Amino acid sequence: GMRSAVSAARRAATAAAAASTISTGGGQAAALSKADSTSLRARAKALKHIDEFPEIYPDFVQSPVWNRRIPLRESLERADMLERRMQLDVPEFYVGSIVAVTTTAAYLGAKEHRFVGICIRREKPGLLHQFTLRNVIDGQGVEVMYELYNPTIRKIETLKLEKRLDSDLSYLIDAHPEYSTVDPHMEPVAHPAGTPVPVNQMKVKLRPPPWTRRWEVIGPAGVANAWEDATPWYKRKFHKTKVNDYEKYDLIAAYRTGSTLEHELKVEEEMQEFERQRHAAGLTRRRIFRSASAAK
Amino acid sequence: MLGSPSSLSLLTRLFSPSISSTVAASGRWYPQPAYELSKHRSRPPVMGIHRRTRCMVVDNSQLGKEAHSSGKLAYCIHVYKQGFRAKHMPHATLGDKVLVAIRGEMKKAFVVGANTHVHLRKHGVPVTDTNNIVLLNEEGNPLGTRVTTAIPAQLKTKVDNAQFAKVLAISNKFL
Repeated sequence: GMRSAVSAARRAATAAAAASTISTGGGQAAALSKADSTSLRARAKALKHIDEFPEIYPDFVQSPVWNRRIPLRESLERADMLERRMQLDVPEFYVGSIVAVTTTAAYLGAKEHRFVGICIRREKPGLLHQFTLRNVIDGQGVEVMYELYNPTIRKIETLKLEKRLDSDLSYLIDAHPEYSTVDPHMEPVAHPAGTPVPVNQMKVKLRPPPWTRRWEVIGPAGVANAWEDATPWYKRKFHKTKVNDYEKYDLIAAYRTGSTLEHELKVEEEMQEFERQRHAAGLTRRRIFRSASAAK
Repeated sequence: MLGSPSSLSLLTRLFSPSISSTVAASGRWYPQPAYELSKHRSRPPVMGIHRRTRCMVVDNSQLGKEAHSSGKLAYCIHVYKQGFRAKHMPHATLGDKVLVAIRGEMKKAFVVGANTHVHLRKHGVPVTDTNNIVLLNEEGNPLGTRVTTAIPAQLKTKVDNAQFAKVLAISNKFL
């Protein structure tokens, strides 16, 4: 839908920008960009490129802050991340999936601690990547932030693999509790391999305001009629600022914060090379590079 | 002159997109992720439990029930903790002792659930939607006989504290 159209446009813009920096002549640039994109496509095919790579591996995406994109630092961080992923099985999960995390800590002694909840947020690139789980326990909303590469994590399980309409479900704190209630003893729901990850079209009904943020202005896709629920005082105050529809057409913003096919292919190549080496050593059969929708 | 390689490289450096999206001195750029916003500018005034922060009493004491049913919640008036700066009261976090005003009385209480700001959260520490407290009497013992909600398991590290051990003893469920 919209997302794929924007990503396609983003790719085109990236290729065009790359070509324009290489050459100055018009015809030459067109020829170069064509050659460039065909070679990229050939590489993507050879590497069995996953189209949803930035969503499955948000930790491998480059920093949205451009002067933190230091190639040496990034490659060192990626090496550490791959090493950790060989030790810990990090399954595919998205914002909106139901995830269980098992941790251990000094205060628990030898015991392990398990928390089940909906993943409401995934943020920060690289080794600092963190995700937040939310659940309602005895009528009390609880959120736990986990750092993906923290060594206290023993196990991560995806109990239900699905996406939601938004990439940030922070509004669940302002929604009725039934929307974020998950049974802590729930049985995992198997995802049939090779089928696309389902997108849950659920529209959440918010509690009456005040809310933690101006959801009627932000307008997440997964919130049912936030504008109708907002109080007249806020409507009067903020109705002029509700013009944020242009943001989805902002290709420059998408280019700056998003990931490029070139970077994705580089990371995929590294991952596959790392796997090949470890499998050849005969120590493990674990796979890091995989996706539920592309599996055979 | 414009065609010389040095001036060309200077021009491309001046107009390249990477220059225009570096971190400016203002600390704000576009498009900026929410977690990159500095906590030192344009922030809401208070993050954490401080003076006038409303707290929910989660024990079964009569005082807490009355406060809850009357709709006039207990609120923090002091935090019993050494701050970093003289005359600047610190914010209370999980397991800290606070003084609260409740039903016209002043009561000491332990924080057993904190609604922490997104930037200040720690790995694996549960954050509740409300700030939860357990009231203490004058002797420092819990006012109620039971804690009604689940409390974070990290609080078990405070079992050495004689007063807090009594709060742990009356709580039966941990997050």
